[in-house]
Amino acid sequence: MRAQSTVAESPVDLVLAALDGGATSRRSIARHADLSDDLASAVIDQLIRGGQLKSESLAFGCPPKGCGDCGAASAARPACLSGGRGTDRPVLVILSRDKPNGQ
Amino acid sequence: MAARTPDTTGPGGRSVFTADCHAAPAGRQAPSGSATVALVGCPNVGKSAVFRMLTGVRAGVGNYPGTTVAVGNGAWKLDTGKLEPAQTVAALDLPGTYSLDPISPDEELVRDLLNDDHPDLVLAVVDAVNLSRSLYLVAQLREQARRIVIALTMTDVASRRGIEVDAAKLARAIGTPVVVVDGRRSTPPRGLAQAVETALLSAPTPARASRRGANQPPCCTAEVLGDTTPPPNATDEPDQFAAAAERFSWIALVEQAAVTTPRTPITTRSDRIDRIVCNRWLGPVIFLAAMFAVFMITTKVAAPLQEALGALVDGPVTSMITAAFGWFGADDTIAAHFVIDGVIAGVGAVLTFIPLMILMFGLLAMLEDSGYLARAAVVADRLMRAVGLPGRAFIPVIVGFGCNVPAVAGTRVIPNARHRLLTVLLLPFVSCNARLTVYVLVGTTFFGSNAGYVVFAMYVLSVALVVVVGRLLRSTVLRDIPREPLMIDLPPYHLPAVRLVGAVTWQRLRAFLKTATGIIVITSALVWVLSATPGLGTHQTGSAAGFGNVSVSDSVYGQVSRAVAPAFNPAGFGNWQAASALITGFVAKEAVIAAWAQTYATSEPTDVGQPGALGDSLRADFGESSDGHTIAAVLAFMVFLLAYTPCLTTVAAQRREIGTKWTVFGMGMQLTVAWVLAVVVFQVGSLL
Repeated sequence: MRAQSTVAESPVDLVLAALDGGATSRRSIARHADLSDDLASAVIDQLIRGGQLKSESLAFGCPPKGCGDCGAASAARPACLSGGRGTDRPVLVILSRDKPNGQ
Repeated sequence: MAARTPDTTGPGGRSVFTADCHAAPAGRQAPSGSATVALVGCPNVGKSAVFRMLTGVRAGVGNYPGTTVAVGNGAWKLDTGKLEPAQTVAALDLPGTYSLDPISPDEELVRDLLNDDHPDLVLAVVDAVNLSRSLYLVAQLREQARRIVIALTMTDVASRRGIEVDAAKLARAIGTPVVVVDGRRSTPPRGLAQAVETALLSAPTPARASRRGANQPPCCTAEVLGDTTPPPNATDEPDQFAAAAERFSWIALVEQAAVTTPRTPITTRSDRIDRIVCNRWLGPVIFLAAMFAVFMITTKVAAPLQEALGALVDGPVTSMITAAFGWFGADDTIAAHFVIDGVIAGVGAVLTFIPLMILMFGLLAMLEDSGYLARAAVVADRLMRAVGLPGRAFIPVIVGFGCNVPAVAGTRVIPNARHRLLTVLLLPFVSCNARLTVYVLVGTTFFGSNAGYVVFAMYVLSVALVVVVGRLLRSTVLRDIPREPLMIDLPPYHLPAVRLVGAVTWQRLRAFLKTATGIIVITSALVWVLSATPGLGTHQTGSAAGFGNVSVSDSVYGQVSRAVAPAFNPAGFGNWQAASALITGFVAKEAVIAAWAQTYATSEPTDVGQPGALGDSLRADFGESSDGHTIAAVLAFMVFLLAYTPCLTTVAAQRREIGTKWTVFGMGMQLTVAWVLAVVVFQVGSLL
């Protein structure tokens, strides 16, 4: 059975520490934090919901303002692979830390 | 929301919620006054399948929150196996929700229904595969006194992944009954009905004991699990972050008590590939190899296609237009030369880019769609941080390989101003597609079948310049730049879809043509006009003196180029034709080839056997200006082209992002680096 963190340290603190420690993927965060993949992933998703982590879907070659700024897009459809929100196509997601007050 | 009529009291004396109107088509309704059982759960846990199993009502099963917007209602007969008639309850299928802190109307509906309307019992559908996510919702449900029964689904899938959930231990840890359920069956397990009936006859389970002070919401059953952690400071302000942290601590304890996971986690195919692709040492090598393959394929396959298109424009198209002017007796007029040598030459240059762009955009789209480019971002993130650039700079850098202009604009995603400044100053060293066209021409002319290697070397040098100049800037004028951690959520690997890759390639090609065509045609026409304008002190002879009747070398264009050319003597390409190309390239790299073609086509031909043979003219002039060290001079020229200012539009974009002072600093830095590198390359190369 995987070793669990001490009760004194919340999985949330462990995940944030793993992020600050340079973990670059969900799997490596779980390893750094010594949590199960499932628990680490749930913490990350909750932090995104709570705004402590920002999730941005990004595609290459597209303007930062989005489809409206792209010469190849039209009102009917975007011009990039990540333009369809909710698509199951692989999309690069970058998460950034937004430390809460006092944290 | 549907109207509700509390018309009876249930166990404990509280009013019973009875939903009597629903948007979704309803199956058999429970008798009025029946107890209400609300099904809650995260999306994709099998909640609707369980609801269908309990009530026989068909309900849609969707993958995203909001798929079942309406609240489903059906009658569930509690078949406990006892002799007396089975109790019927009203089952409500609430929309999927991850949390009772809503971020959508559906989640708000669920929270309001549970907290304000108090169903008699909550049947929480919990997914054994993603237990933690489901338990977050359960943790919140347990923060109020409620009757709760857990329906544990997907235990078979969990078992296949090595995850074993002990339902009895889970029940003790959570403090509520847990029943294993398979939503694919046609009838529910008897144990579920028994658990619900027993719970309905009992008082609600007390809320998890509060450990955060009197004014805090209830949070822990730590006492049940033997947790001895001291509670947080009671004077702390309640906030969602602290509440979430506490809930996950509770979840960790619950899972510790009831869940067994494999010693080594089961790895997916993507994980196994990532061990190699994202490896600290192999990752960069693989990344370089992938980029090398892209460039080799692009240059080798595009070159003959470009040649064919160029021949088409120079041959039949030019002949047709010349003939058309001839029909009107205007074939040797200024207008004809302007159209043919200015505009058509520019259009021809654009056309020859198309095969190159299609291949480049197509290959990058394939890498992106496959999921590999996300891994490249992980690899590049380490490189970025080694330079002192923020991880976010990877995106503008990758965009910069297409075009520096949107790359500079794309630095707006970098929140820190100093990071943004550093990135904008370095982006001009990223070799864009426009420079690629010149590389390919020069590479093919001087290196033949080895052109791909030379072109790739330019890209490697480009990356090296970003790294070296970046470190230089960080250790000198930009010492005060903080570091920023970056996490990248890797998508699973995917076979690229041909249709999608094709659509994206077309969209990006169209965007390139839309922006580049105007620049190229206008610059080409402008170069022609300057080439046709007599320079100062030019002696014109004959009756046809003046505009349009002067050699390029005697034109305004030629004279400016001659004035600049000596500066390139130490770099081995101090001929005015090369200088003129670089001056044109300062305006727009896309127009370099068109300007070169004009320069050589309107000058006296050096090769009578092949009029307009640009390659031969280039070989002759580079050979002459370098005293026979042609290759060294060509490499020096390519290095200068790589490192100096990309184009006027990039300068304008930079000025918008970092202001005039830093933009001028950047231009000076680029010209200095370009000239010094070119001189070094030629001087060292001519010794070899």
